[in-house]
This record gives sequence, C-alpha cells and structure tokens, in this order.
Amino acid sequence: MKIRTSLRLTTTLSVLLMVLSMAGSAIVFHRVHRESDHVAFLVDLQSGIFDRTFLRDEYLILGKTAAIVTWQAKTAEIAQHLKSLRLRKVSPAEAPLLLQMEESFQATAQLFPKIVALRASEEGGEPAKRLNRLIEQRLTSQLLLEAFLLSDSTRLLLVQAREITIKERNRLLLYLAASLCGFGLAVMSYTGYLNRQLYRRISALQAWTDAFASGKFETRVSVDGQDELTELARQVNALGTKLQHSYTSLKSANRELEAFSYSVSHDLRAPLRHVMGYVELLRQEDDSHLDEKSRHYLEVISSAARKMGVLIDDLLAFSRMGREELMKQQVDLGELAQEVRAEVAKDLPPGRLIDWRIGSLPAVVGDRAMLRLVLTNLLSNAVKYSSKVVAPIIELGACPAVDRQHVLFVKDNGTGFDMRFVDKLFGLFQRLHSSEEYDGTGVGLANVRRIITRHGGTTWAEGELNKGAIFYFTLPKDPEG
Amino acid sequence: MRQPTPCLRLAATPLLHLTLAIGLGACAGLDCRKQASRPKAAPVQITIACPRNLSSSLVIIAHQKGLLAREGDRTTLLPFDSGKAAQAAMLAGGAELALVAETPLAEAILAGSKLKILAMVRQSNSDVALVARKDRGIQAPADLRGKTIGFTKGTSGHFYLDSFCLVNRIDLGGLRLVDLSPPELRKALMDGRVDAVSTWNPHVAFLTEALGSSATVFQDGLIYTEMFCLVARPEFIREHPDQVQTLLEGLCSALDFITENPAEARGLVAAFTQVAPSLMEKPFASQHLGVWLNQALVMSLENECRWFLASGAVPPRELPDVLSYFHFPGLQAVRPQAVQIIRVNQGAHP
Repeated sequence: MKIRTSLRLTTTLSVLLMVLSMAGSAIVFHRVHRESDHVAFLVDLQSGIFDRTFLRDEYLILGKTAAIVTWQAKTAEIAQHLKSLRLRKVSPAEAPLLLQMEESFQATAQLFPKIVALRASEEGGEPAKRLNRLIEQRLTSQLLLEAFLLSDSTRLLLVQAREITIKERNRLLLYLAASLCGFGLAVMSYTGYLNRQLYRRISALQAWTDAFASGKFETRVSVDGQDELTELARQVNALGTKLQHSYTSLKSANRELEAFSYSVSHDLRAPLRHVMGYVELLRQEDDSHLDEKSRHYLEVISSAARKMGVLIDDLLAFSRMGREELMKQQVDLGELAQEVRAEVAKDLPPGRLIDWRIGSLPAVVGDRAMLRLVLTNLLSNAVKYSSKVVAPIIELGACPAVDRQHVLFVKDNGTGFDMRFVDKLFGLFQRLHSSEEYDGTGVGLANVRRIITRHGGTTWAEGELNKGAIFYFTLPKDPEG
Repeated sequence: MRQPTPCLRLAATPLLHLTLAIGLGACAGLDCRKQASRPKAAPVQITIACPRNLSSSLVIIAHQKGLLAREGDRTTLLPFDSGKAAQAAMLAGGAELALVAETPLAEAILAGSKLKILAMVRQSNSDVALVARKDRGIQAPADLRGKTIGFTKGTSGHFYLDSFCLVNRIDLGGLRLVDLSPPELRKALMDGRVDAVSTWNPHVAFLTEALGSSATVFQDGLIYTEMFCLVARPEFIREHPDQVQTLLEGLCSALDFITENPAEARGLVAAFTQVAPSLMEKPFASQHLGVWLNQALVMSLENECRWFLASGAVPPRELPDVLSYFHFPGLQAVRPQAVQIIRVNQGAHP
C-alpha cells in the first residue's frame, strides 16, 4: 500500500473513530442530562411533600386552620407533579415506587380532610366525641404511616435516580475513556506499524548513503513493497549504478592523467638537460666568434630552460601530491606554524620586517609533511605578495569550527586580488600577476587545494586589490567520523 | 553507521506501556480473586414457614429461582394457612424463619417471643377486606350491626375488622364475632353460618367470585396497611450471618426477577399457593413487594401493640421497644438505602 494511501486511511480512520466517539458521547451525555433533570424534578417533589407535611403538622399539632388551605394548594401541586412524573417514561424498576407514591399520596389526600372533618364535628355528646377522638387517632396513625410511605418512596426513587445518574455519568466517563483508549490504540498501532515500516526503509537508505560515503559504490538498497519508498529505492539504485560508472571512469581517467603528467614531466627532463648541457658547452667554448646578439640568445635559451626545469619539478611535485599515501598522525598546527614561520622568515632579505600574528591553532590529524607544505605555501605567498608593502602584517589564525571542521586562515595586507578572478586562484599554473612582478609557477595554491581536499577539507579565498587577501582552509575535527 | 531519528522507535513505547499496564492489572485482578475465595462452610438446612398466599410472593419466587441459599445449603418452604400459624411454627422450633403480618408479630412482641425481624417484604392496602352476604341484608357498613362476623383472632383480618368498625362507628359489642381459621372462614360464609368474614386474599377473591352478585365487599384502603415481615429465630441469625445475608440478597434479586419477568413470577406464586391465576392477578398487581426496614413498620407495630393492650387481648404491660426486635446488619449490608428508621429508641441500633 502506498504511504499516501496509508496516511489517508489513518486520517479517515481517525475521523471515523472521532465521529463515533462523539456520537456515543452525545447519546450518553443526553441520558446523563435527562437523569439529572429527573433528579432535580424529584428533589422539587420531595421539597413539596416536606412543605405539605409541615402544613399538616401545623394543623394537627397547633390547630392552625389557616394551614388547611395552603395544604390543599400544596396537595394539588403535588398531584400535578405526580401526574407529570407518570407521563415521563419511568423505568420498570421505578414503576413500583411510583405506584407506592401515588397510592400513599391518595391516602394522605383523603385521610387529612377526614381528620379535619372529625375535628370540626361538634355533633353528639361526650361518648360521640370520645368515639371521634378514637377514630381520629386511628386515622392519624394511618395518615402518618402513609405520609412516611410517600416520603420514603420518594426518597427511594430519588436514590434510584441518583444511582442511575451516577451510573450514566460513569458510563459516559467509561465510554469516553474507552473510546479514547480505543482511538489511541488504533491510531498508535497503525502509526506504530507505519513507523516500523518507514524506519526499516529509511534505515536501508541511510545504510546506502553511509556505504556510498565510505566509497562502497557497489552497495544497493533492497527493493521490496509497493510504496513511494520502493520507488525511491529503485531511483537510488539507478543513481548508484550511474555514480559507480562515473566514479570508475573518473578514477581511470585520473589514473591515466597522473601517469601522463608524470611521464610527460619525467620524459621532458632528458631533452631539457641536453638543451642546457649544450648551451653550457657553447658558453665554455671560445665565444670570440660569437657576436653579442648570439650571446644574448644563449642567455635567453638558458633562462627559459631553467624556468622549464622549475615548472617540470613543480608539476612532478603536484603529481606526487595526488599519488602519495597520507601518513596521518596528530599534528599540532600551532607548533608547525611557528616552525614554518621561522623557516620563511630566514629567507627574508635583510632589513625586511614583517609583523607576524600567529593565533592559537588547533591540533589536527593529518600528514605532517603535507600540512607543512600547505602552511609554507600560504605563508610564502603572503610574504611574496606583501613585499611591496611598507609595514607588512601576516596573520595565521583559526575561526570557530563549523560543521565539525576547523576553519583556519592566512591573512596579509599585501597586493590582494580582484575577486572576479577568485576561481582561478587554486588552478594549476594559474597566476593573477605576471612573473616579472612576482616570481612563481602557479603550482603552490593548487598543491594547497589538493592536500586539503585529500584531508577532507575545503579551501577558498577572499581578497581586494591593494588591500590584502585571506586564504581559508578547513580540516576535519574528527577525520575518522 | 548513522542511526535514524530515535523518535520513530519511541512511537512504539506507549503500546508497550499499555500492554504492561493491562498485564499487571490482570495479574492484580487474579490475585484479588484468589484472596476473595473463602473456605466452604458446612451445608445448612433452612426452613421457612410461610402462609400459602400472595404475602409469600417474594419468598416463593426467590426460593423457586434458587436465590435464597448459598451453594450446598438447602431451603424448604413450609406452607401454612396464615402468617400467624407460620410464626407459631417457627417459634415452636419447626422452622428457622417465618413470614408473618405485623398484627401477629405485634402480639408475639407483646408476648416477649424470641424472634428478630429481618425485613418487611410486602405491604398492601387492599389485601384485607370484609366480605358479606347481600342475602343477609348487608349492603352498607351500617348493615353489619347485629350480624355474625367471622374472623381469625390476632391476625390482620382481626385488626382490619376493628378499624373498619371504628371508622364506620359500629360498636364491636353489637356484633357476634366468631374466631375461625382461614379455611373455615370460607366455608362458614359459603354455608351461611356467618353473615360476613374479615379475611385476606386469596380468600377475599375466592369468596367474591363464589358469591358473585350476592357478595358485598368492604375494602377500605385508607384505614389499614398490611405489612408482611420475614422473621427469624435469633439463634439462627447469630449462627448463620452469611446465610441471612444470602437470604436478603436473594430476596432483592427476586425483586429484579419480578420486574423483568412478571408473568413467570405470577406463575411461580400461583403454583405454590394453588390459587387460580384469575383470582390472583389483581391482588398480585396491587401489592407492593420490596425488602425494607423502615419507620412505617415501627409505627404500625407500635400502633397494633397499643391496640392489643387497649383491647385487653393481651395481659397489660408497658409498650415494648419494637426496634429491639429489628435485625439491621443484614439488610444494611445488602441494601442500605432500604433501611430508613427516623426515630431511634434508646438501646436500638438501626
């Protein structure tokens, strides 16, 4: 199943469960509300019954006849209440209690007027009055009994209604909790399943990128399932195949290029030696038959041959930089910088003063000899291009690390360069100044870039004409990571 | 190898927690159930003496549905012509429990009998009535004057007769009262030895049907409420508190059964009382079945104790503390809301 379909399904399932939960909750909530309303109604009824009992006692105990009228009104009110209670849908469990209430209410409604009538009766002599008292006693006992039954059945109905309300409320809570749990479980299970699937797939892709990063270009991602990640795995594998081919071709071309440059530079040495040898022989011969012009030509040939020799040496050195194996070790860049600075300063013409500013530099893992060459090239360059400045300042320092890379720089206040040509700076035999102005072959910075790249770092530069230049390079903090 | 984001793995942990919680809960539940199981007691034979009439409805249904006894125990219903006879049998040691109306119960309390009231199981305002013969000129209450009236002494029929005559201003001294057993009352009215009888259902229904248009029924629901109680010998309660609780629980369950299966319940009562279903339909519907211990019963017992004392039917004595005859713990444990005593006498404990 496609991931998009799965996610849609999850959403639909969630919405469906939510709707079901809400519908169920609404039904149970309605029941709770109905039962609460029922309880309130019964409380009202109970209160009416209590008031009526009070009025009855006011008459029976204190003889207040005014209470009779209010008692009658209250009786009518309770009768109405009972009628509406009957009209409500009572449960089978409530029915016997309601019946009891109605019967006891009817009994009290009939007994009290009988007692009132008996008290009011003035007929007969003492025996009749004594009989009346006896009847009144018997009826009053019955009235009290029925009043209790009315009150008690109302109480029991109320207890029952409250129990039902609590039960409904608990049911609501249980329903909500159950739906929440069910909803949560369903979503959790499904998302858990999706997560496991995605985790497995993404892990495979990450394993592929790791393998690729470590140069295992033959690694492929397993293609199973029918979702978007399957498609991605196919594309990744196709990309891998292309990359592998490109890498193999590039490696082969590079090897050929290295061999070519080595053999070219090596093979050029022999004819160059011949040229220089014969020029020297000519010089050692009696040069009286050579005119001034011929001697100048010889000088030009000799100078060009020497320059070519230097170029061949540099080309050979550059070629070696690409082939030689890195001898990695812990290198204290601060200490190395001081060594290089001292060496570079030794070659300075007498009287030339440079303000060296070497900051705190980190220790790195790398090939000490190569890193030494990097610093030598960069500091020599700085010395060279600040030779026309009255108060040259050369600074070597470190910036805060970025992306687990130490960032180092060499800054001078020399001639600088035009940023438009910055891309040419690190190219082989690329120069931004003429050799008449500043000597050199244009191999130094190319070597710097090659060494730093082989260490897993990067190089770049910033500069401004006649203001100076900054050359940056980075080295990994953890070269194994 | 780099690890993917750990949040993907974390998503599965709530499920694990939930499973663990359910598992632990289930284990705890099992443990509770283990603790709740108690050793089995020796089987108990429980005999309940009860009148062969509708007053025994709840007990009959509970018994027939096997709700009265715990596993291993056995209950037997011993039928009698009246609650008074059932109570006498229990007091004589023929039964552990009895069903009796408040009138014979009040008399027994006045006599200082050893019994305890476990619960009131039925009340009715329409069960007891006076059935008279029209052919003897009885059409209105006043016509009873000078007539021969059958009743069973010390029963609800007796108290009803007294109340009926009182509120209708009929002097009991002006009547010829004949004390007869319930079956004899029926025969006596049918063969004309008496002009009227004060009795209860199913006799009232039987006589009304048998006499047809010749019957005059004086049934006044305002003057009397009959209350039937389940009473027990104190030693039974003392020795078998668990059985008492089971009995009361069984009666409460029987109430639910009646609510849910009224027709079947009526059938069970008809089978036991041997009353034709047509005769018991109306009285069955008009009675109030329940399991209570309330102030109404206290009032009723006190009223009738006063009546017994005033009538001279029992030796003079002070009004007894009827509450001391109530056994509250049983019903309080089973259905506390059904215990409603307002006035508590000193020494009594609702």
